Amino acid sequence: MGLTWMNYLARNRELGVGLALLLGMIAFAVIGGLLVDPQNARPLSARVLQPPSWALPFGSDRQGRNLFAVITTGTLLTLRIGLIAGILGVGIGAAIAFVAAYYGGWVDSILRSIVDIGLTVPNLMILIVVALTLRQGMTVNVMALVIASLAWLYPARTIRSQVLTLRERAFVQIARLSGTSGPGIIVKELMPNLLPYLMASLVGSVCCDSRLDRARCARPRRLRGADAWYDALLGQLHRRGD
Amino acid sequence: MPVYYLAKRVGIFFLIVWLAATLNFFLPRIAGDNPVAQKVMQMAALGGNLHAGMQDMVKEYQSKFGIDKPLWKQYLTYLVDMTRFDFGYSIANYPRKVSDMILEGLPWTVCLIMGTTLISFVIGNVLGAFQAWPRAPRWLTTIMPPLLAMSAIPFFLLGLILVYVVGFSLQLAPLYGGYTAGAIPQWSWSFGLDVAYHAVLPATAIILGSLGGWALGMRAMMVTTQGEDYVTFAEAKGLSDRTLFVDYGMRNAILPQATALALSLGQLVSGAVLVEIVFGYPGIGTLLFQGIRGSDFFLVQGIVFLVIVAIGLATLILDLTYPLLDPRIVHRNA
Repeated sequence: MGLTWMNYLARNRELGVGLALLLGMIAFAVIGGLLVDPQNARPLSARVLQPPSWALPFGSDRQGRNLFAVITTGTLLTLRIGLIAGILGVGIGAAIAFVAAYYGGWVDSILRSIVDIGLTVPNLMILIVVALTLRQGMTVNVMALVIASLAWLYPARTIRSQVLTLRERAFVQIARLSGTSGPGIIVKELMPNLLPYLMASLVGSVCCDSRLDRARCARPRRLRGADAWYDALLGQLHRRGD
Repeated sequence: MPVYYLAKRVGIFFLIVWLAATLNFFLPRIAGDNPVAQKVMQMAALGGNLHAGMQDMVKEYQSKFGIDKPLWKQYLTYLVDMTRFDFGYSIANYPRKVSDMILEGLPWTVCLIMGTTLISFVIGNVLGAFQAWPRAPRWLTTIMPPLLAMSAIPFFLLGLILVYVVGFSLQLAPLYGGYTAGAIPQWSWSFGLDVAYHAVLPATAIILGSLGGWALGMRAMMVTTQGEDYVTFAEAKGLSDRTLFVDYGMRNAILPQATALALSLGQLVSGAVLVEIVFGYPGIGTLLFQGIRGSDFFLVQGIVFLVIVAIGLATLILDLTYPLLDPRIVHRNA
């Protein structure tokens, strides 16, 4: 078992590199989290605007947060938001795309209109309105759900376009003639043909969603990774500028 | 299909624009801020002392902007104004007209974002297609992972790193703005060069950041075309590699990519908000950000309405051209 895995990795070196990167990131967050007290991610835990040193590997920002602690606690949260929002978003988006494009007609018209309307409203505006309405800030999971509620629109539109042509192919028609039901065709005939694209959308979506959480409108209780990197870098810039 | 489908599709376009515009009207108002009162308070705080007539002032301005009327009346005026592309006055920058502000920012955003989107679309798709091509040159497949890693980095962070390394440490490019401060925008070579010089960093950030995404999508679609019978047949016929690659491979993989391109071109009116903010670029993105922060209803409404129309048009054109891109798609009457 273990050996087949190793063989598989040796044949697909890119997979190995990707896994190594992901594991490296998790290891950084976990090991870093053991080395430093997460409480130091709070304001005033260090002197303000310190350059990197042994005690403060990434320095500190204007509010006196130890940026190393901020990043170690933030990385996993960002990953979590990206995964939850990405999987929900691509899952729901793909389901809607398959149903809309395969059945066509008024189902397609309605679903497509909903998607098109949703796509027109800027994400940033929705996020800010949500943040303003929930004045007291939100948990990480709620935030992931909010982002997921926006993330399904885009995959729905792109996946639909390919299903439109797939449903006319000979193998789909044969399946239909031999009495396979609509859902059966979607799962057994259409989905396998789009699996690579679904995976690519998932990766893109995870990246993009963890990027969305940068909109710092949510006044979060805890900081997330993308923000933290941004702050660390910005802090350095300020210091050089001062 | 054609005429019936065309009429139905155009009808849906107007329906979408109307519904989205309605959403756009009510969404900022859910947040329940009073933009005029806020602005007056802000000005008073800056001025130092609070005036006795403040409430009257707020009321006066509210009636001027029409915010004191019942919501449904505001909504009707809004709809009528939108059909004439009249976006009213900016609350935060009174007495500037929203349409003027948008017109000022639009060329910046359209040039920067449209240019970079098209460039990265073409390069990214060709790169991605080669990733799934068995006879692709070696070096093409090796530059892919770094590009993918690049696209996982948020635009604004990439932008900041570029500003820091290229602009600040090496002093090779300007740090900020769309043109040198003090220069007067005009149609001349020197000003054009100045603008191009200032666009290099933001453009690089966007292209580097989005190449990987396009390539990933294209690769995934291209892989599915490789095993198709018609490709095998074309190979057996002895068609040239070029024909196989472009006409048999990429042509059949382009649909989702074309969809994504149309959507991003539709969204380009709202700009790459964060890139514009990081680079202090005088485009629509910066304007939108200011509008949202300052509860400038009319400004936000104007920009979002443009986005709605642009995306509505983009998806309309898209749906009509699907059968041209892929003749297998048929629009049946439902």
